[in-house]
Amino acid sequence: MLFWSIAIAVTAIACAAIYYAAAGRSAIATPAVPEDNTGDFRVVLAGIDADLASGKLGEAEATAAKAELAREVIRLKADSAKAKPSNGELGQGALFAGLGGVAVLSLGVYFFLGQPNMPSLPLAERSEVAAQSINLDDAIARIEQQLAANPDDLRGWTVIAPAYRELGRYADAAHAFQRIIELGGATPDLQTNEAEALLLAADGAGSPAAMDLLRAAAESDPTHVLSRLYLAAELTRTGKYPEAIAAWEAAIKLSNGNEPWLSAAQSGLQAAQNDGVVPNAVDDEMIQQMVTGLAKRLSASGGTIEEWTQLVRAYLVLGDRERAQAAVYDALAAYPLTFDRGDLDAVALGAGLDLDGAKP
Amino acid sequence: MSIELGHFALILAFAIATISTIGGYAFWRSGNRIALVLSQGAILQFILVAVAFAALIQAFVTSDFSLLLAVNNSHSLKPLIFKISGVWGNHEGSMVLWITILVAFGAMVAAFGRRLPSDLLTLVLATQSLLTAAFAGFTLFTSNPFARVFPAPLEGKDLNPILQDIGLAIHPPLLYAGYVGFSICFSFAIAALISGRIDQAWARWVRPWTMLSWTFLTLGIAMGSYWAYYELGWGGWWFWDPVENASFMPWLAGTALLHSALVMEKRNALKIWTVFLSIITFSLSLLGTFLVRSGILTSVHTFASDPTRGMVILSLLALVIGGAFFLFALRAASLRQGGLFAPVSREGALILNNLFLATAVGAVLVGTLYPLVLDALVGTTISVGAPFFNLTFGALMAPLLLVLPFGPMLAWKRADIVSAAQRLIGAAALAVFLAILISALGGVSISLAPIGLLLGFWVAFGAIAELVERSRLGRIPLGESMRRLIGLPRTAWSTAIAHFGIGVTVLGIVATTAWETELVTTLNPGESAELSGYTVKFDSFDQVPGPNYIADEGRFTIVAPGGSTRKTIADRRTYVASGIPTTEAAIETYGFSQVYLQLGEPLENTHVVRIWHKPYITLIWLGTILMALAGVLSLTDRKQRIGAPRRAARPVAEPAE
Amino acid sequence: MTMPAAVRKKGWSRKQKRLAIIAGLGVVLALATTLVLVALRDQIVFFYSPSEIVSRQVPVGQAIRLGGIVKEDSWVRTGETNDFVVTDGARDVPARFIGILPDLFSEGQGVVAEGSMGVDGLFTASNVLAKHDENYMPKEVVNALKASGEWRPEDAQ
Repeated sequence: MLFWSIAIAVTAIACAAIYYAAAGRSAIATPAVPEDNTGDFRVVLAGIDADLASGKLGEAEATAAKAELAREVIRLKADSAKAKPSNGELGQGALFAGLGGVAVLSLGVYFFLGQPNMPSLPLAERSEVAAQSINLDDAIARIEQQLAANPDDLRGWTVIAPAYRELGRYADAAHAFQRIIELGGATPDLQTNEAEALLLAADGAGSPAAMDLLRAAAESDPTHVLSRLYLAAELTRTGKYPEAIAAWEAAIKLSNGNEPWLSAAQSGLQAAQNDGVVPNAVDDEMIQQMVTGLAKRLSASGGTIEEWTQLVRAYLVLGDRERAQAAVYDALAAYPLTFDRGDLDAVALGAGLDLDGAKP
Repeated sequence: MSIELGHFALILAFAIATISTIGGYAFWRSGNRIALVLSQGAILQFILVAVAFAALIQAFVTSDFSLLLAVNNSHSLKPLIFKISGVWGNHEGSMVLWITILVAFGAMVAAFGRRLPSDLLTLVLATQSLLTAAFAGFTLFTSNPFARVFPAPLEGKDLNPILQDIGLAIHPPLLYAGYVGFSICFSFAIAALISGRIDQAWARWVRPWTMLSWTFLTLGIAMGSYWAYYELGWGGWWFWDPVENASFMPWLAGTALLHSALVMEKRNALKIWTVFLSIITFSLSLLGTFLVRSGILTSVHTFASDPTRGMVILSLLALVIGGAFFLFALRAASLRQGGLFAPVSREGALILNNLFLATAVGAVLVGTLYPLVLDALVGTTISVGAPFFNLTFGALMAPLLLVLPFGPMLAWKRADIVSAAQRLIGAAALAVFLAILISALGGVSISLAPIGLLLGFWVAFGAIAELVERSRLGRIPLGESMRRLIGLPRTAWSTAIAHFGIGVTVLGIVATTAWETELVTTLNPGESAELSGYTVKFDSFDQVPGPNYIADEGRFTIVAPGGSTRKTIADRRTYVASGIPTTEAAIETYGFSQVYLQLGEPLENTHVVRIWHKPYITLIWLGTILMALAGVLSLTDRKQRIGAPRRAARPVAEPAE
Repeated sequence: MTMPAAVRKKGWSRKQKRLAIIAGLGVVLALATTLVLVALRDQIVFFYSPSEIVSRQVPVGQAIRLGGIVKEDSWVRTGETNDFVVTDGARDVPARFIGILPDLFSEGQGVVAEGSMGVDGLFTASNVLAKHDENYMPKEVVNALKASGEWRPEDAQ
């Protein structure tokens, strides 16, 4: 109904504008000077004189041209005197008939062609999550197709592994990381990622393969923190407290005092020392502090894309979508190329955050 | 709701246009009131179509996939500018753009046309409304851009990388502005035929519109040519392709119209011919827009072909063009001819110009349509390629260029060719000297090159000679001639610059054609090749990910003959979403010349590289920019403006004389 | 626009002027028409499908356009030389092109190649045409394929 009211109002306004123009009350079309356009002929006359002066026209020719012009003007005047309006002014009746025609035609045609009840559906106002996850699914399906054709495509596996993890397909993620390691060689990061995926796939049941990978990662790089943290957490969970304490301490030793994971590691250490009983659980407030510290540092001096991703994740855990979105934009500004952004896109898309317009 | 409001706005504009047409033709004699009504109607049409166009843009920008057009031609991940240009990168949307420009010109006539006689104004606006009604009706009923989809998909289909180019974003609007601008000339011609009034004032009103449209068209064609040159990666800048021909024919006819309208305005001659040209030019514009789109002719440029609607388009064209020529046949005999002149005169030269341009239009038209006709009649499939056009067009343009510099030197009515020739001796001598010198230095690889050079220089220097002549340079003190030069009317400058631009373009064409060198070779990273004194070193090859594509990227170092080195990148991109490959040639400009590098698909670590050296190729586009500049300059001339010269100084309400 | 000086000096009558102009126009038009016709006879390029090439005995060296589909598994690249086979389902014609093929050239896709037949039955292409749209099938190729019964509409769109 609203649409039809607007449509009828617009039609009425248009008709009114025309009606008032007919009454000579329009600002745009002031009354013309209809039968007198000798001004234009004067310009032509001036042109003849100018041509004469510049030698572009001979004396005799100029005189002839002027005479011709004069005849033209006389003829025009005679014509306009002769051809007086033959069918009278445009009458009120005809005007109203025309306006009625406009209204009937426009509303009628729209009645047949239009879909007045159909609302606009800008993408931004639609259930975003559905839109975005389907996007991610499509992308993954495409990459999967490519990988099926060419299973040795390192780049394909590299792209798809974190995406799997974000979608919760942990077994697939673990397989993908395994392929990356096979194709491109092992690094502590990859091993840790695979272990993480295996652990998540096991859903709290633990995974010997993951422990092997974590140990291998920790061994191959004495400064690798993440593997040690996972190792410690797993050991704590399985109740191997002495080993866990050692692992926590090894990790904490690698810190330089202001890492975001430090407080979590310390409380993990306390838990291990306390035989698995967490003295004061890592509460939201603590995370909040940790996150605030990280956010401050990143906004002040920038950081790796992993740190940005961590920040976004943390905000999401805390349920602060607004800040998460802001962090995504900041990260996009810092890393404009998709391929530099690692898991960030997948995390953001998975959570239904906007990636499209990187507005500041 | 904005989409549906846009839809309604377009329909309302269609309704107003329809009623304006009927009312305008029924009441054109009845005086002032109908003119006022139609003016208001024209302005309303413009506002409403602009609203409809804005609604489409809005839907594309917000990725509203409940709009079928957006589903088919947009994608939420496109950059903003290409979301917007996506609106007209397809049949339905480009129709709306076309109509938007049409009604914009109509509104301009309504706004600036206050001083036109009311009967003429009414007829012009009625004809303009007729065109709007016809094409808006066609759009709404056969290719409605506002069609909706339910349920709305979550993502659009189109991310065609080739169409995501800044050149393609601005080139169609420019071209359309050119095409559609000629509709005003068409409407004026129809008005002249119906009312029977055709005089020098009429030519004065038509000429600025012609100049404006011609300027747009010149820029549009030049931009399209440059786009094809750098984006298609073939190194060619003109293919005599049906789409190119379709835009070139209205340009040739429009150029003829510019000149014949000049004769008509100044000397009251060539009246019927000018009316005829006005109709022809717009008809060719219509052909240009729609013939290719109807799917009858295929072309490398086609991006919005729609064979299913071909018959409707053709009938519409037949109706508009056929109707206009029928009216012409009916009424032309009753128009008064006027203006006598000797064969050797400015008028004569301009007739010659028109003759050659019109014949060239005919030749291009024959070449474009001949395969079609032959296919329909005999069933033999042939193609008329570049050799045909080069031969016929070249043969027609050569004499035109030869007489071109004489034109501005000749006096009206009756001229002395000997004195004109005397004034051009300097330019001729200089042109001959340079043509011989360059041919000798450059080595003549094709036999026509020196003639081409000669013509190019001759036209360029001839244009300057006219300025030298009028400023009496060298015959009076320098300061005095500078003052004269500055004081020359803008139209004189405009003529000289436009003709100079033609010379520049001709020189660019000749130089590129004659001395272009090309090398196709297998080249691997670390190796280098040499071409025309340039050493091209293939530094490295990498697969590099881009934002939404993966690129095979070749990095090259070009060492110019002078020793300067430049690094450049030629790549082949494969777009992830669509899998479409594109070639991004590396183009480096040295002075007016360019080195153009194209990288082939890698095969087992060997790379094929195609290298062109294109001497003075940028002159081709530089010349067209000069021509467009001349058009703008001419439009700023006070005397050219629509309305009386002293309108600006006097209040509007006061009678003019 | 040159005329004999004697005539020019005397000045022409109205009728003479008009006649001179019309005669001039006529001459130019006649020349142009001749030019167009000659060019049309010599410069047009016929379009053939592989079957037609075989059946019509196209003369060696004559410029033609060959259209069809690039046969699967026939494209071999050696350096900058590309060898491939153009087929319409019924007949095959081997073709060679030296240079860089358009982006959209691929096996199983429609193609139009400009060039000429050699004595050895090899088509040497001077130019291979491609198009913006990946779904594009040149109209000539469609017709040729239809004629040979190889046309499957779903391939084109």
